[in-house]
Amino acid sequence: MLPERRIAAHHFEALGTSCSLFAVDESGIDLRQSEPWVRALGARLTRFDDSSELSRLNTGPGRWTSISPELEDVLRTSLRAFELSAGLVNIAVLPAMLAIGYTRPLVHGPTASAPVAIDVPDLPDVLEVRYREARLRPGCALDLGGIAKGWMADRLSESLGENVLVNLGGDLRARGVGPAGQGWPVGLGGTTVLLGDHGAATSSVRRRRWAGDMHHVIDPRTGRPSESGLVEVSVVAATALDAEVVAKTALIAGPELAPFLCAAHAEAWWLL
Amino acid sequence: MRDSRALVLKLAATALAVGATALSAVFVTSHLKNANAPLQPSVLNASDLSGLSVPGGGTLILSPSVRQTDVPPVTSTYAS
Repeated sequence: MLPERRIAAHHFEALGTSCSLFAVDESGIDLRQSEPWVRALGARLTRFDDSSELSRLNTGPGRWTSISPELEDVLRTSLRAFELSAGLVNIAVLPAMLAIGYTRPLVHGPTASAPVAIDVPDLPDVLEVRYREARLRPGCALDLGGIAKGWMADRLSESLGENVLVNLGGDLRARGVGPAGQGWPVGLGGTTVLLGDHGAATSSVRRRRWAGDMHHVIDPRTGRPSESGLVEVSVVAATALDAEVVAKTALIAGPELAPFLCAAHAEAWWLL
Repeated sequence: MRDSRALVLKLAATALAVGATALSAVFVTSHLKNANAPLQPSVLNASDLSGLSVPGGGTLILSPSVRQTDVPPVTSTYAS
C-alpha cells in the first residue's frame, strides 16, 4: 500500500446534475480545464435546448443531417447499446417521456401527462448513422440521457490522465491506482468499494419521480415508466458506458433476469 | 504397383483424418471449460455469490477485482 496522497478535486454543476473530477494532487492535472468541455458538449447533446445539435436532429425533416464526430460516436454507441440490451436501452423513448410529462428539466417540474402509452420504435428502424451524418425518421426523437454521460465520463478520464476519477452525475469512470495505491474509494449501493480501471453507474426509479408512479426510466416495451420490481441497480463494469447500459438494462429487465445479466457483464452489482 | 501405391495413400489419408478427428474430439471434451478463458465472467470467482448485506438493503455482489473498504468514499454513484 502506497502512502496516501492528497487528492485534487473540482466540482461543478453541468448536464443538469453535479459533476466531480478527481486526481492525485501531485499529478499536475488542471481539472478545471475540463469543465468547459463538459459544458460545451452537454449543450450540444441536450434535448432541453431547441438549438442544440441533438434537437436539430430530433426536429429535422428526416433527411441526412450533418453531425459532429462526438454525436456520431454517441449515436453509434446508442445503437450498440440497443443491441446489447435486447432493446431495453433505447434512446428513441423521448416521445414516451414527453407523454408522461417529462418535457423539461424536472427542477422546473413535470407537465401534464397523456393517459395513453406511446409506442417506442426499435432504434435501428428509425435511426441511421454514417460518416458525420445521421438520419432520424420524422416523428421520432432521441434522448441521450445516461448514455451521453457515460460516454463523456469515459472520454474525459482518458484525456485527463492515468490516475483520475470522473463523476458526471453518477456515471463514474476510474483510472489508475487511486490515492493510496489500492483504487479509488467510491460509494456504491450503501457501501464503499475500491475501483481500479472501472466504470460505475446507478439506474434508479427512486429519484426523478412525480405524480405517484411516474418516473424517468421508460420501459420501451410498454412506453410507460418501468415497473419491473427493481427500484435501483448499481453496477461496476469495464467502463462508465458499460455500467450505465448494464444498470439500466437490469433495472428494466427485473429481479429475475437482472442477476444473470449482471453476472455476465458486470464486475460488481447491487440490486434493490 | 500403381494400385497398391494408391491404396496405401488412401489408407494413410483415411488414417490421418480419423486420427485428427479422434484427437480433436478428445481435446474438445477435455477443454469444455477453460478457467483461464478471458471471457469468463470474473464474478464466477466471487467468494460469495449469495451476496453481501449492506446498510441500504438489497443484494451486493463483488467479484475479486472489486473490494469493499472502510476508507471514506471520495464520491459516489447515485441515480443517473
